[in-house]
Amino acid sequence: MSKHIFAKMAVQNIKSNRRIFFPYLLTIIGTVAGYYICLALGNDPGIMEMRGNAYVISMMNIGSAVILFFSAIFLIYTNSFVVKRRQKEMGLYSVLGMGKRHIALMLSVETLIIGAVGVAAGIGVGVLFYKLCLLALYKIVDFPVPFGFYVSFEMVSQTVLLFAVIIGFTLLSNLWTVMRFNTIQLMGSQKAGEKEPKASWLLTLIGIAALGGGYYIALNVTTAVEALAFYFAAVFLVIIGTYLLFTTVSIAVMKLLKRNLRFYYKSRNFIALSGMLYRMKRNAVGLANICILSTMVLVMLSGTVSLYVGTEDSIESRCPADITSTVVFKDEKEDMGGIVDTVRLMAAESGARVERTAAYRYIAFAAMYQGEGAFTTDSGNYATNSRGVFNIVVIPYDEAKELLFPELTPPEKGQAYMAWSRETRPTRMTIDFGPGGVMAFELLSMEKNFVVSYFANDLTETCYLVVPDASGLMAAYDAQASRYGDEKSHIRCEVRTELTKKDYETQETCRNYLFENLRDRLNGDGENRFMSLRVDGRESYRREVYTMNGSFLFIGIFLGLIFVMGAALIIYYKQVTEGYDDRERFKIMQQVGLSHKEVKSSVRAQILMVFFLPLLVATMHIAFDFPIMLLLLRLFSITDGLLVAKCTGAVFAVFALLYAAVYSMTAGTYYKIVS
Amino acid sequence: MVMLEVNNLKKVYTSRFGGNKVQALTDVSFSVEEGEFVAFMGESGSGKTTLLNILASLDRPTSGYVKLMGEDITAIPDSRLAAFRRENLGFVFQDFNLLDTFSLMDNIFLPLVLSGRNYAQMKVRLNPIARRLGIDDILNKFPYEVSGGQKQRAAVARALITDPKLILADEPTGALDSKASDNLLNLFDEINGDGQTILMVTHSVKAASHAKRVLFIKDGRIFHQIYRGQMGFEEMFQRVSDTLTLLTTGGEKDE
Repeated sequence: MSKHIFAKMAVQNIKSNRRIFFPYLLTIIGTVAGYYICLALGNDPGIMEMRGNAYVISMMNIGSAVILFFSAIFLIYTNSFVVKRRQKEMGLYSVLGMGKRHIALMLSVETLIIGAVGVAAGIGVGVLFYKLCLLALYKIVDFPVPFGFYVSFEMVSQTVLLFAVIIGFTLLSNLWTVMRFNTIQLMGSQKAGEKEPKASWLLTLIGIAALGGGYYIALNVTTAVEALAFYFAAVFLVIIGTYLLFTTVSIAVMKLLKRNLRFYYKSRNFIALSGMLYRMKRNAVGLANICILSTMVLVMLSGTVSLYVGTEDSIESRCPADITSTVVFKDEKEDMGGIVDTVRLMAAESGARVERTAAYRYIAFAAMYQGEGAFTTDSGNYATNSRGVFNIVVIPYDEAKELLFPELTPPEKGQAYMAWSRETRPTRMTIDFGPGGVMAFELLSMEKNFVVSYFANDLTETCYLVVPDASGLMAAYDAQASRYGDEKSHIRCEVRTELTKKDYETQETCRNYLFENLRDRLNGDGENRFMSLRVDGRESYRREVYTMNGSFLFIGIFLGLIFVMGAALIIYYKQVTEGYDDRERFKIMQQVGLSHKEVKSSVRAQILMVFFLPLLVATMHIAFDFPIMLLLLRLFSITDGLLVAKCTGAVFAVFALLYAAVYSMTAGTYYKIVS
Repeated sequence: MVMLEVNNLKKVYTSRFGGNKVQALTDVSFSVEEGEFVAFMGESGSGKTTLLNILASLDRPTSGYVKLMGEDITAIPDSRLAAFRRENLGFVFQDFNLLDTFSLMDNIFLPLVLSGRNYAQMKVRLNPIARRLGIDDILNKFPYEVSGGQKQRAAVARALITDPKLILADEPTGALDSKASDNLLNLFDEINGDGQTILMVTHSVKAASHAKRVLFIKDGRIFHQIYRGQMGFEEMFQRVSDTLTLLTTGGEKDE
C-alpha cells in the first residue's frame, strides 16, 4: 500500500470522528497556548525591568510547570478516550485485511496530523493572546504598560519541544494498544456485560474516615502555624476521601437504599437508583477528578481574589503611616522622646517635609494560653507545641491612644483592654510569670480590633493587652525579664511619620535614608543602645505587595482557566460515553412501556445528578476549607473574614455559572447521540 | 371473540425532504381471535417488522386502523400510549432487551413498578410465573450471568406479568440455540394453551410450525396463510416450508 493512502485515510478518519477528535484538538491548542503564555511571561524583558519582578517570575515559573504537568495528564486522558472509542473501528480495519503494521502507520499519521495542527494553532493562539495577558498582568500588578509586541522564539521552541514529547508519548501508547489487540475482542469490546457494582464496606469506612479526618483538621486548626503545618495533610485526606466517596461510598449508600424494598420499588426511584448505581461505577473516577479540579479552582481563586481585594487593608495594617520605623531598646530606661525627635530630624534631612511624627512603646513576649483568660510563661520549648502559643503585646494606653485606639476610654488601675483574633474575649486575664509573679487584669469590653504593624503578618497568634500607663509596661518588662533571663524581650518603639508629599520617590528616599542611618545616629558614638530596626515605607510596600498579590491573582485566574478547561473536557467525554451507553437502554425502556417523555425526564435527572454531584461536593469542600483559608490569609495580613467570605461567594457564583454553561453545552451532544 | 382487527393498513416511509417514498405495507387486513397463536413469516424487508411495530403502537400507520378489543390503537394520543402498551401488551424480543442494570427479578418487575404496584403485590404475581418458567432460582442474578435461554424466559416472564391481552414476539428464537428454542416454543404452546393470545414474527420454519396460523408477508402484503387445523407438527412444518420456498423463488400469488 502506498504512503499516500494512509495520509488520505488518516484525514478521512479525523473528519468522520470529529465529534471525539475536535475536543482533543482543542485541548492541545488550549494547553499549548497556556503553557507558552505562562512561560513567555516569566521571561518577558519588560517584566524583567519591573520592580518586584521576582514574584512575577517565580509565579510564572511555578505556573508553567503546573500547566505542563496537567497538560500531560489531560492529553493522555483525552487520547486514551479517543482510542477506546475507536477500538471497534480498528477491529473492523483488521477484519478487512489491514495488518497491525498498517493500522499503526495510519494511527501514527493521524496523531502527527492532529499534534502538528494542534501545536501550531496553540502557538498561534498563544502568541496572539500573549499581549492581552501581558496587559492584564500589568494592570493587575498596577504597573505602567510598555509598548511593543514580543515573541520569544526560544520559548516557542521550548513549548513545541515539550509538547512534541507528550504527544510522542501518547503515540507510543497508541501503538502499544495496536500491537496488543485482538480483533475479536475489539469488535465486541463494547458489548461485554457489566458486573453489578459491589460496595466495599472497608473502603467505604476508610473513605468516610479520610474525609471526616480532613474536615476535622480544617475545623480544629486555630492558628496560622497549624494551618500551614496541617494544610497538606488535610488536602491529602480530602483528596483520598473524595476518590473513595465517588467510587465506593456513593455505591454503598445506593445499595443501602436498594435494600429498602418499599423505597426501591417506587417507579421514580426504581429506574433512577439502578441507573445511578452503574453510572456512578462507570464515572466515579472521572467525577472525582472533576470534583478535585473544581475544588482546586475554587480554592485558588477565592484565595487569590481575597488576597488581591484585601490588599489595601493589609497595607493599612502593615504600614499604618507613610514611614513606620520600629526601634528596639537595649536598655529599657531609654527615652522615647529622643527617638521621635531624631526620626523627625532625619526625615527632614532626607529632603521630605514632615507633617507629623508620633510614637508609642510596647513589649512583646511569648506565653502559653491555658484557657479562660489565663496565660503562663514557660522557659521550656514553645516550638514543640504551637497550639496556644501567643505573642503577648503589652501597650500603655496613654502613649498609644491617638495612634491605635482613639475611641477607647482610659482604663483604671487593674483594668485593661484586650484584642486578639479569636471569637470571644474573656472578662479577666492573668499572666503567670513564675518567679516573676502574676499579673491580673479585669478586661473592659471594646468593639474594634487593632494591630501593631510589626505583628501584622506574624505566624504566631497575637494578644494585645492595653494597660493604663507606662508603669504597666515596665511591670510586664520586669516580670518577663526575671522569667526569661538572657532571652528576655526588649521594649520596642513604633515611630509613625507622616510626610506632606505622599509620592513614592519622596517616601523611598526618606525610607532609605532612615534605614541606613537611623541606627548609627541613635547609637551615637560607640555604645550599642538600640538593636535591630525596621523601616517600612507605605508606597514601596504597596508596590511590592501589589506585584506579589497581583501575580498570585493572575496565576490563579490563569491556572483556573486551564483547570476549568480540563474539567469541561472530562465532562464532555463523559457525556459522549454516557450518550452511547444510554442509547440502547433508552430504546428498551420505551418498548417496555415508558413513554418517550418519561424516559427523557428520568435520564435527564440522572445525568444532572451525576454531573452536578462534583460541584456539590466541591462546594462542601470549600465550606470546610474556609476557616483554614482564613488563617492562611492572615499570614498576608488579610484579617477581614467578611471580605474573604464575599470574595469566595463571588468566585463560587462565577464558577457555578461557568460549570452550568459547560454542562448545558455538552448536554446537547448527549441528547443528539441518544435520540 | 375477535381480539385484534387490522384493516386496510398502509405505511409509507418518506425520506426527510419528501424525495423518496417507500411503501412498507400495502393494504394489510386480518383479524385475530382471542386465544390464537399467529406467526408472521416473510423475508427481510417484507414489512413484517413494520407491521409488528404498528401493532405494538411503537409506530403509526399512514392509513388504516388497528383495533384491540374494539379500541382503535392508532388513535390513542401519545401521552397515553406508554401506559396502554404497559397494560395491554407484552413484548418478547430477539435480543431479549433486558436492562443490564437490573437483576432478572427487577427486569420482570419493571412494567409493574411503572404502573405503581407495591412489592408484595408484585411478588404474589411473580411466584407462579417464575416457577412455571423455571427461573425461580435465578431471579437474583443479572442478565450477564445467565444463558440466552434463561434470559429469554425472563423476558417472557416480564411480558406475562402484566397479564396482557396480547403477547408480541419478534424473532424470539433468533438468538437461541436449538435446545433453548425448543424449550421456548413449547413454553409458548403451553401459555397459548392457557388461553393467551400470541403474535410472533419469525424467520424460523420450526417456530412458525408451532403456531395455529401462519401469515406470509411479501412486499408489504399478506401473501398467503395456513391454518394448522388438525395438522400434526410434522405436516405443518412441511406446509410452511413449501410455502416459504414458493415465496422466495418468486411464485405469484396463486391460491
